Amino acid sequence: MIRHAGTAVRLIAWGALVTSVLAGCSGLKPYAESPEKNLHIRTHTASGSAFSSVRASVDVYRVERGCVADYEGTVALDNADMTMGVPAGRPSYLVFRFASSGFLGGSNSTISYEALVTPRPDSNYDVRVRYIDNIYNVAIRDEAGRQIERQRLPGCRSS
Amino acid sequence: MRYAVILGAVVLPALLSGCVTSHPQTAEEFRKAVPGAFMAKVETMEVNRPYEDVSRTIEEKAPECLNVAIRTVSQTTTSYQVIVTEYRPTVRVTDQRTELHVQQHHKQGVLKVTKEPEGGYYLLVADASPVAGGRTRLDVYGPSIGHDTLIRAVKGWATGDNVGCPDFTK
Repeated sequence: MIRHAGTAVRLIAWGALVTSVLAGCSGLKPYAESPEKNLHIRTHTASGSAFSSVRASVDVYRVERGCVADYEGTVALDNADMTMGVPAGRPSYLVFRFASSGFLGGSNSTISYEALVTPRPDSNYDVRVRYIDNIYNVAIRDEAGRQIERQRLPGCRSS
Repeated sequence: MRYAVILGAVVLPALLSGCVTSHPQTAEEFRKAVPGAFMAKVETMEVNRPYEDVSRTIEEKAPECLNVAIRTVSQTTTSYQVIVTEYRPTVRVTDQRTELHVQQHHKQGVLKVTKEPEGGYYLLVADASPVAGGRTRLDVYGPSIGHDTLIRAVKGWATGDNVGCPDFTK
């Protein structure tokens, strides 16, 4: 039993090490969400092919004065239905990514959709993220059902 | 994707131009060239949506979806190629017709052998027009292979089904 526990500890340690190394290499980090879960995200992905798959994620950037986008982290949109929190009252730059992976030597590719959002305090937003058969769509609506106008960051730089 | 880029960059302009030293410089020239060109086609469909709705969708989605730059990297054991392609949509709306022009400009990685129109080579032209019964006719001029996703997206804007942006990496 003690031996098993030791094996488990070693496995966990190795797992943590490998995960941290891989995370460090990829440059991605988990997003530390705001406690207020103000985004209700519904994701639907289907590659349209038995030989490929699609994974959706969203990168969150804090937008500083001078239009500098500061990367804060990434959330995998693996669950069809989930909530996440971004700070209210200040702009955040959301980059939704659809990463396609081919099997049997197929190609890999990523397409992204960017949106600048400034959530109002005490408000919730409905986000529909869809990638079906190589056609994607992201729609962000407020509680009244109004679609949030998409804004980009022309001329801004990321850090 | 690499195939689509090669098609768009080299083969399609060459075929549209009849393998001479020029190819369509305007949307109207593109419309005239496509019907007789190899690996290009004209598709016509009628959709059960009012013209105003179809026109509005095209006006909304074209700048949102087609104003993109795509970077393609092709790597083998003996080669490494980077192609950067910029796409540019133009929408013109009248009471009787909504025109969508899609042009592509290769910013990196592709040699230009013919004169490129301002804004890039014409890749696709789509015309929506009203027909009786609150329906809309859509004529799509474009390549017959290599850009299926773009054509399906434009058709979706007309039909209202799976409305979204084409993944240009496909």
